[in-house]
Amino acid sequence: MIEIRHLYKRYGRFLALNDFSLNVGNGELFGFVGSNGAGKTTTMRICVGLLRADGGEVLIDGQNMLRDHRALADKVGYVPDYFGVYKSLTASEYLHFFASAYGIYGKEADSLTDELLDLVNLTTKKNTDVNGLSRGMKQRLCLARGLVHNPDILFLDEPASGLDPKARYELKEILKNLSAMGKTIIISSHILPELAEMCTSVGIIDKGHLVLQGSIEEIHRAAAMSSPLNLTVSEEQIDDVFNILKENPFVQKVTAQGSILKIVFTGTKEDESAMLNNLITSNIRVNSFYREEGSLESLFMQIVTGRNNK
Amino acid sequence: MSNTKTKKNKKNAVLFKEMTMDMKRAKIMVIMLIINLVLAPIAVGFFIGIGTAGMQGALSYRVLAWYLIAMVYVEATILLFITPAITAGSVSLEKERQTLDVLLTTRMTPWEIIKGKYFSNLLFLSLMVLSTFPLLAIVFIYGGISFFHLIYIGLTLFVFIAFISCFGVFFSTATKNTVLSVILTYIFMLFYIVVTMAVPFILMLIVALLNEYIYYDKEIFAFITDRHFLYGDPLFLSGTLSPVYMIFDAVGNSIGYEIDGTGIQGMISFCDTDMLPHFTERNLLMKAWTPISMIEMLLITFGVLRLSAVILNPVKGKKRKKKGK
Repeated sequence: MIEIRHLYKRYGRFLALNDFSLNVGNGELFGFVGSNGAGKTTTMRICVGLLRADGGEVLIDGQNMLRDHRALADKVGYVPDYFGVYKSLTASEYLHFFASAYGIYGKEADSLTDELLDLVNLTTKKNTDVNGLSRGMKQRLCLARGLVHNPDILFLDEPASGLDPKARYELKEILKNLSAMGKTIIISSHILPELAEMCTSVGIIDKGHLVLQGSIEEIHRAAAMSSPLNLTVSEEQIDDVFNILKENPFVQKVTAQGSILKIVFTGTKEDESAMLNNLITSNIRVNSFYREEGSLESLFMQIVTGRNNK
Repeated sequence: MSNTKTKKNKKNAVLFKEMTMDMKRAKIMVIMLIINLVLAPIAVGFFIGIGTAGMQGALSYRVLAWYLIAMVYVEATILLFITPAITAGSVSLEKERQTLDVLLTTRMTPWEIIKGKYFSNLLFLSLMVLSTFPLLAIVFIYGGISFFHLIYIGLTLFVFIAFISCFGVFFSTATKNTVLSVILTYIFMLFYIVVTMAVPFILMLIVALLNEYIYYDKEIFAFITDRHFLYGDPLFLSGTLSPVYMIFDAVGNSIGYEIDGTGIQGMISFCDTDMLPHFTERNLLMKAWTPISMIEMLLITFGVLRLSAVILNPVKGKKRKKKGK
């Protein structure tokens, strides 16, 4: 389990992380969502020992491993948002090199390299120069490099950026396999629908602070609740509807588009039912009443825009 | 993968990679070829000279000594220019390739990475020096120079490149750009060499001027014979910090001992003064000039490399957990 407690990081005057706390359970595939400069990469770099935090601590299985370089290196794998490859080496040589950096040599390294290349579907490219691989292949090779020492936790920073749909799909499938193998994966991405599809839990970071965290079901629920209610009534009753809704404490905003009213509603499902009941008992002819389908993207936008307005 | 367990690193991965994979590059062979092509004409000239002198029956030890001295000086000059170019990209290239971060997240510590980079460069440069040995060993055909002398000079050249290399690695670690790192290494080496060559003479001059000021009625170098005067000879040992003096002394004290003006003693006598009467041939410090210089340079090298490792450490300043605690 990863526990990040009250992390602070400042670059000059810019506060990149501001009392950032996060818990990720073992075996989770955790999606880390945030706009550029929100603090995702800074958090990851602190967690893998590439950056020193100004305050706070990172506990892995209850231990502060940031103080023990080798223990941390054994425990975590890191795939940054750039390739970081030696172009003069072949894919196999590249993995052999990193295997030796973890003290794995000889036949063990040979079989490990074959196994990893097979895992990331690069067996046929074993003896190809890294320079000759496509972006998607390089990204998969980097993922294999991050797994060379069989870490329990894998940090992936924007792994899908710049990849075509096919390469993204392949990467997603590999990540699902790794998750099924019991690895804890923390992945940051801008491609929110994909995160929503494969992650077991999600955290939204904004201005160096975690603003929302939960399981993917909770996030979906929150996303659904965050979208407006659509109410269709006959046009001659619209004024009456406005008057009724005005008195409801959960109604934040109502906009009319012809006979369709969009209601920003902050109450629970029960409050929603009560409101509908009140409309019907007031002789309002309701043609349709539904909530727009929510998405992680819309929830993210709502949170970020709301915080920016504040 | 599921059963893979990381172990204690038995060999330095960076050193191993650079020695096995990067050594295959053509660049390495080209550099070796260039240095030998520069030295070869001197050897050819020597053969022609020997041939001519042999016909006249006038071949002497001095000819062989001068040949070797010339070869060593030319080689040292080439090394002085090549070494920064080779070493100053060692770490900065990793930064430019964006491979340093992933390397730092492995089990390798910054110190191990620095050692790997440094020794791979040093081994390559040593190989380059070694490749020139056949050209130096030509003198054995005629005799007069012992094998020990050649080994001694080889050792001095090794310390010379070891010393310069550490600054290349240092600037490579301290900067993000290889071009900047190369320029800084050249500027620093030039500055260092000029300063360390000038400082001993400046110090001696200051002592002489002080003596003249204090004992105005005496001539400037009277303090040498009058023990009441300020005694500044040991200050001249500051010159042992100069890699150029080290080469100069090693060459002068081994193969050039019969030739005036070679070696530190020769240089002093060449000044035609009695500036440093205590630094005679019988003086132990004088005899140990090159070994002292070597020890100093290796210590500086170690210090500079440790400093480079500190700079490379992304979480520097943080206390590492000690074993058993």
